[in-house]
Amino acid sequence: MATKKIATMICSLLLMSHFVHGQTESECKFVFANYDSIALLIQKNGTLAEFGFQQHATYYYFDIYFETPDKLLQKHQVSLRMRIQFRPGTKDSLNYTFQLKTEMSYPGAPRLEMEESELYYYKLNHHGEEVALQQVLQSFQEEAKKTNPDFTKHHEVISMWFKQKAGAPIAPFQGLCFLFPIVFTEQVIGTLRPICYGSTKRTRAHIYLNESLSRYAGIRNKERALNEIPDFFLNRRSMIWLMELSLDQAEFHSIEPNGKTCGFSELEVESKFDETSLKQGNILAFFAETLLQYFKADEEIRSKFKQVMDCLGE
Amino acid sequence: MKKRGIILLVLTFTNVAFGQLNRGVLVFDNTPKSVLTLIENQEINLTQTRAVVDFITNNTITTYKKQKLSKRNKALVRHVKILNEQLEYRYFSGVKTSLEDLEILFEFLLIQQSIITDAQSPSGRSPNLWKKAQMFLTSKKRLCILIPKAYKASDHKVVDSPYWNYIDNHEKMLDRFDDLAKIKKIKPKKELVVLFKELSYNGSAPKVRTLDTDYDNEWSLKWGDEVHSDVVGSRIFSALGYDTDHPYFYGQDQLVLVFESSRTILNTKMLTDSLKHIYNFDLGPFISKTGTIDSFMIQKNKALKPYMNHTYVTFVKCAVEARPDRVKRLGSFCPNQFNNPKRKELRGALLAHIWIGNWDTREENTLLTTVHQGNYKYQISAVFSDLGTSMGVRVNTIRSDFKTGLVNAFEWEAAHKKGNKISFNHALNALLKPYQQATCDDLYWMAEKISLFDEQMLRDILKHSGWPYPIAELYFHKLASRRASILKAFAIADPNPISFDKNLNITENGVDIVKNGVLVVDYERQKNPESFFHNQGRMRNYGN
Repeated sequence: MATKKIATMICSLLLMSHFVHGQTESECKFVFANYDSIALLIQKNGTLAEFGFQQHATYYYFDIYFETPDKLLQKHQVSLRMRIQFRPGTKDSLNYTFQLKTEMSYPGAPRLEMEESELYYYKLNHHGEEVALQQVLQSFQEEAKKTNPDFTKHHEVISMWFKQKAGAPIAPFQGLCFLFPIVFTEQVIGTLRPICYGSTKRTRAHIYLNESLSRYAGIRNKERALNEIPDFFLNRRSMIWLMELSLDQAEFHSIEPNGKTCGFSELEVESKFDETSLKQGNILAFFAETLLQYFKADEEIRSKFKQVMDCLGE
Repeated sequence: MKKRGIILLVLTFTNVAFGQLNRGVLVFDNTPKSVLTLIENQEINLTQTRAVVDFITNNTITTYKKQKLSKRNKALVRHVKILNEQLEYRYFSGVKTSLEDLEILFEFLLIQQSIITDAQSPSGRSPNLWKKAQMFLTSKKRLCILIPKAYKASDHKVVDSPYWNYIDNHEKMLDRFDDLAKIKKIKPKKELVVLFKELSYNGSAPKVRTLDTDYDNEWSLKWGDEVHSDVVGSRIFSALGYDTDHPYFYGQDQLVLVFESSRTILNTKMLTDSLKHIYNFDLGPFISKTGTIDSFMIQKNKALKPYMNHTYVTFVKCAVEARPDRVKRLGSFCPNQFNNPKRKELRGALLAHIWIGNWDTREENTLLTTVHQGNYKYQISAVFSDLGTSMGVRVNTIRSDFKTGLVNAFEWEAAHKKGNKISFNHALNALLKPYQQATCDDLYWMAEKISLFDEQMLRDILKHSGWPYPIAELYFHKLASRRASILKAFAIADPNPISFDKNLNITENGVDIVKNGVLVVDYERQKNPESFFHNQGRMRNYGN
């Protein structure tokens, strides 16, 4: 009963309102003490009660988070990061993004996300030399692989970029000005600098209905455009695609020399149904209930950035 | 020096070398004042420019003067940001503004203005009483133009711009509509399967939004009196060098509309009821077959395979207008703003409208688009949209009705010269500024373009119209006659004379169909429920 209550609470439809795209997703997030056991289950395309898992991709992220000297982003419950995404086997396997995200202050709170989804056209004139922003990020990632990385140069170039671009029409800046027009002035945005960085390995899997659950009998796949249906389900049209799962294993470091390091893992599931329209009840809650029966998990509403900052004591 | 700069710019902005859709240049003659406000001491005014770009790219800006702004799509945002970055890089590198920068700044302002006009006058909104009165009064105006004393046509060359492209030979003129379609990745098929997407509430012509079976591209499916004329009008305009919509006619059972269970409309009855409710239009006479897709149908048309057991409907006749994913529609192309009223290519368009007898020339029927040319390269293109209110129009003010494609209402002559004046046998419902300011020389420029049409081109265009033989033939003679009257009025020696007969007679099985150049029967009414003969238009359900 208690488990059920927790699961319901965790999954009380954490509505992520993609402000820009006008999408609403239902998702919930867990932190596991034992990462390996859940990772193994997904890796083996195993089943958990009536839920089947089908791993379909592994992504690698390298993130650099930014902050102002007086930690205004944290104070205003937002995070700002540049991300290098490596998705082996996909058409655009390497992708660079710049994202602003708000924190979820309570379960079910909508999160605003504003993303500059392409950075390839951003460049700056650094003392007469043309430097592409992506190049700087790539070099940052290379430096991070060293035992004693030195980010002085990267710090300088990135800070210069922020200073020049503070008033530019770049989605995360537009978001900051929209949310906190008085706080995040051009001058303040110009003071942003890297505060931490880290790598994440993300395992992606589909979750499908392994067999006809009595409570979900008769449930039908949501109608989708053919190009929105994953290959796995295209060839198995009768199989019900319930959720998408992301299992993250992350390690983050403070930007300061000899700064702290922290590692953690988290699991996120996103419903592929309009949860509010399901007569049979909340699939996410039912999944969470099942998950908690088998694994030791905790709810988590903090963003990666907040978890890292708490861990690093920044 | 200035000319050299323009030539260089044309090359710079010609994304597709010698292709069919060239960006060309926006700046001609003098740079508009509004563009100059974005420049300060030979550098771009960063704050002002960023404000314009922010307006275009920032989807948190949702209103303009209390009017709701449309969501700016990703392709537009990407295009504008790429251009802005080029500007900003040059700015921070201390480079003085160039002609290329002026082009970019002009494009930003044009896009911004287009978004604003879309908010102020969205296509879905029907004209208010004041606008209707204006349209009525404009319709009553007789168009004419004075020929200056000792007039000699100027040798003023019009350079390529987003508004018009030069076409250098007959073949390219003839192919241009299809070439543009290829650039936009429009793939019409002989037998088209479309999936119902959603109802449309725009305009007065009955239509619905449908999806291609590739799920990427859309088609606007239409019925009624514009299904033939829109095809002809658009093909003629594109042959003249303009960008247009891409409408295609589909005859009996050539198009299958499939209903999917995820949509709001699930069958033919629901579709019929909805169209009746929205447009007061009875789809009934236009329906050919309805039922469930079975293996026999799939055998005949493989595209139906994924839709076994789905409900479908086919029509006696219809048209689809392509809404390709590669083309994003903004608002009007701002014919009345900036230096656009001075553009010869826009002023000259008046004569093209007159030739095809297009009545609805409102700004709402102009469209600024971005066309994705691949590899995240975009260019803006100005589209003359909705050219179907042409080829013989009757307006009934009392009953608030109008009808297009009435062949008997399409006059044999479009222009005639008397003294130093050329009068036009045509009425428009809106005289945009370029049309108001059009000079004899501007129209002469267009008359020369019209002279390039020959018999083969006209016949080919009419072949796509889907009109039955007697109607198409009568239109051929009328278009040729109207063309001849234009060339005569402008004293242009006809390089491609097309013979026509104003007393054309066509009989079928001993029955007169066309007599002395007049359609005398309501030709095959069952196959043509909108009627080529009767004046009852969309507001009176075509008399059905």
